[in-house]
Amino acid sequence: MSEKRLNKPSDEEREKRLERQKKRVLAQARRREHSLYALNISVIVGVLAFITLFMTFGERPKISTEENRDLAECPTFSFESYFKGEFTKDFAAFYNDTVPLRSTFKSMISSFRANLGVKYGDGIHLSGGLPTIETRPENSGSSSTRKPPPVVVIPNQSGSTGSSSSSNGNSSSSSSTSTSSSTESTSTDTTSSSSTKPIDIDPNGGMEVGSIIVLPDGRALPLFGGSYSGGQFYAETLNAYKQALGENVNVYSLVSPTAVSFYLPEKFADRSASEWDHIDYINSFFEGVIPIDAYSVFEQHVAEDIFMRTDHHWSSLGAYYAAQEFAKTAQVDFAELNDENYEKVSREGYLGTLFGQSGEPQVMIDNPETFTYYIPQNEFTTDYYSFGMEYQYTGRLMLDIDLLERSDWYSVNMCGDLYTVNINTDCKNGRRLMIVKDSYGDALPAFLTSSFEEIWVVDMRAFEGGIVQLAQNEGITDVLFAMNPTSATGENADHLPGKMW
Amino acid sequence: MIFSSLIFLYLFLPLCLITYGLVKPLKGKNAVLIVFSLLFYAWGEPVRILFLLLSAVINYFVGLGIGAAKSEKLQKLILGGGLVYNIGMIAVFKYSGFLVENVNAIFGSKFPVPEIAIMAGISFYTFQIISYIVDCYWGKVEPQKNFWDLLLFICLFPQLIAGPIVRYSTIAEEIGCRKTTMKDLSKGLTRLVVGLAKKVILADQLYRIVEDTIGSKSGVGPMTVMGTWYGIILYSLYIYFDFSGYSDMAIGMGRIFGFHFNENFNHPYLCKDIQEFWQRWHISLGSFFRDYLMPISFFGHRNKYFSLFLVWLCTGVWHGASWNYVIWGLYYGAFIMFETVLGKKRINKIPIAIRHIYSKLIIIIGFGIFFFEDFEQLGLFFRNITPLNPNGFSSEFELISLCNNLWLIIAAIICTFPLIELFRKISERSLNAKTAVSVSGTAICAVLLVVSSILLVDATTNAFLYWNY
Repeated sequence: MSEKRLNKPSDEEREKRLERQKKRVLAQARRREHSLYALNISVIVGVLAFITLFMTFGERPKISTEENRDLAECPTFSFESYFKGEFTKDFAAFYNDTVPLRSTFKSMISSFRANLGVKYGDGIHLSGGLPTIETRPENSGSSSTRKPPPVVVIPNQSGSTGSSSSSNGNSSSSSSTSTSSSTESTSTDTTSSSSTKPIDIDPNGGMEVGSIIVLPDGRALPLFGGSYSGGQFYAETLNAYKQALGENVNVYSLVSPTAVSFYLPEKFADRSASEWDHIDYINSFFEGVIPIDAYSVFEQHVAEDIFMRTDHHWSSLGAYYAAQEFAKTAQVDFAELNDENYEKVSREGYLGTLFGQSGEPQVMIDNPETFTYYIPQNEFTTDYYSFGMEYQYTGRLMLDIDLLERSDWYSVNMCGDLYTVNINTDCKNGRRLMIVKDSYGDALPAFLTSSFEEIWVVDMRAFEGGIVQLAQNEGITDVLFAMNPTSATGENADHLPGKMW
Repeated sequence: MIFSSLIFLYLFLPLCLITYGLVKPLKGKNAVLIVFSLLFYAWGEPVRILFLLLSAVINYFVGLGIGAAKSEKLQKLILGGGLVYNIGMIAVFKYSGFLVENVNAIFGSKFPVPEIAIMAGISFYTFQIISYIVDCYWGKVEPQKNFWDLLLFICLFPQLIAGPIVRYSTIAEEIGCRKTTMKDLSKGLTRLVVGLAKKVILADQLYRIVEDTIGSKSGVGPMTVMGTWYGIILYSLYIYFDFSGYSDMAIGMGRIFGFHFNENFNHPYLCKDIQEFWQRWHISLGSFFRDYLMPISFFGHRNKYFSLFLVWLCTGVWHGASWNYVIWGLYYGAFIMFETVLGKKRINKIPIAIRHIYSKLIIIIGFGIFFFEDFEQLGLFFRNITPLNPNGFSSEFELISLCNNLWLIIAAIICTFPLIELFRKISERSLNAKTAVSVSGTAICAVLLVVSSILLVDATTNAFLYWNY
């Protein structure tokens, strides 16, 4: 007992022991806290550093195929631009616009936004960005009052102006020197045909992802907003081009409708503006410019794959029909689509620009599409120039598709939008064409190598020279402006006035 | 340059932090901060830096003058001169167009309306300067003798553009003597990421819906009753996350550099009355007016109600050069006066649920007044939130939009609650709980930072609302 009593610690010792224990626990807590702070700092600084390195050394893209535009360029520093605030503004635009792997991140953002909630009912998804639909102004001429399209001027073989013919004549003689009278005008009034849909479209099918409707078969339809004032601006700009190019150069406008005009289910009808209406409105302002009516042509082929299902562009087949209509209007020979004239190339599993933009829906993954293009078989050479008109190389008109990323297969047409292209063909009819386009027009030249002896392809967004000047220097006889209604009534057409001279 | 941009986060900030870390003496660190702050402010509009520097020089001498003046009369004179200059700068750069427009409208005159671009952050940094010179006059702080230290206080980039309104007394000591501890760095980085996420993941996404409802091109006119309420409730959430997100980033960055700014928000939507709302919302502005405007006596008298009126008139005017802001300020002033007359005791007797409904209604309708600068739209807004709305009670549109953004809206509502405080309390239970909470917090921060950065790739209209104040 006494021993036990002796071993029992005194109160003082117990207190000291408790104090030591408390200090140990506190020290342990402090050490733990310190380690947790260190971990937190390391992780956050690590992520910041990783993204900083990625942003600094990652390869910055120059164009956006999804948005159909060139990305901002790095500005050159000057004190003047700095003090005006332009340098910093442009540099910030460049830095933010050209993030490495931009397309991938954009697609992730679409996915993120598409999953911010649940789908309503049978799949309507309103995640913002719906186009604003305008009412058509009353200042456009009706089909009875508007001016008829001009006659097509057909030069003789030596290159000088030989004769003219109706813009809707059926002559196929490229070297004709006869003057055809205008037997029928090119009707731009397509009212009666704008609603024809000879294919089955479930009126209640599809879901809405932002400004895109995704149909049950995986077809994505970007909704069209349009702008009537933008359309008028485009038409007046083309009138100015026509005036600058002179009487002897034929100027055409091919505003090609997109899939939304033909496949939009009934229940989404009020979500999209009418492309036909905008095209008609544009045509009402033309003076001397010849409209190409692709709308009526497409209506006859809606059961065929004239548009990509997962991409905002038309298909090569769609471009073929549009080119055919153009060739008919321009009165030049045209190579029909057959094995003799074209080599057909197809690849399975295409998922285009709308796949990412619509949040990578499973229905598209389950229904990947076939990408088909056609290589013309006649003789021609293709020279590639920079946008500033410096010769780069001579190469193939249609690239090897297997060298391209799957999502980039549309760039099989002349490398996409990276060059000004000059095609010299074995067709000798004295007709020299210039196509002024954005990416929508890329698929056209392949079908016109038998129709013109020379074709210049100019990207209206990036070209650094004067279009009229180039046309005059190269003896161009026909200028075709080719784009879709969004481009014609929107930002892309805004580039045109500044590229005239 | 705004905080929620890739160029700020991944070019400007890393360069600033690396340079700041490499320089050892505090004077050098301060110089680094001044240089980067001036670069930050000059971004996009370099000329405005001259006005900032001019303000710094003038107020430096005003402070010295007040300190050196032998008589109170002279001190008052110097202070008055300083106040006239500072308020004059705001008047010229922010209100001159508004004033001339109203003079022309009232008197039928045709004075040309000056088109002066507002200088970013002028309302914030000028108020900071005013607090400095008034504190010098009141003897609360010693006038700063070192110009560069005063310049650092004025131009310090974390709080330069959109607050919080940091008072000189808050950071005076830290300008001359500070150290960033591990805790500061960790807390500062976390706060920076949380603020960024609030802005980019919540505020920016909410604003996309607002733009489709009350902010659409067709305006509020065609909206149904439910649609209008839906839009304005989301706007109320947006404005909170936008502004408090910026404040979080500012406070976080300040802490990374060793400064401890006061809080600017304290979960304002938890308030039960309007007085409490303003004790939790934009605290630095409310306390500025409370401390610097309320004590002023007019014509030798101090009248509580007149002072309240003045404070709320100024609060409204401070937010923008448009009549709707004036009405917005007076609207709050009226409710605060009502609550003051009613008394805290009587208010506390009202069931808490009713107090919550009352306060949220007043706040949400208040943000309607704040949102619509166009009086026609404001009128339509008031019509549309009532049964007088001719567009019907509801439409499928609101339901679709609500479904499509359900997770976002739920997340936003949850985030108005003090989640971080909740986790802090859990972490205090044991060392293991602390470890679990802290490690989870770090992982969440990393995810939020990555997600926010990805979303910034698509940020086209993400300027902070308070950027131009």
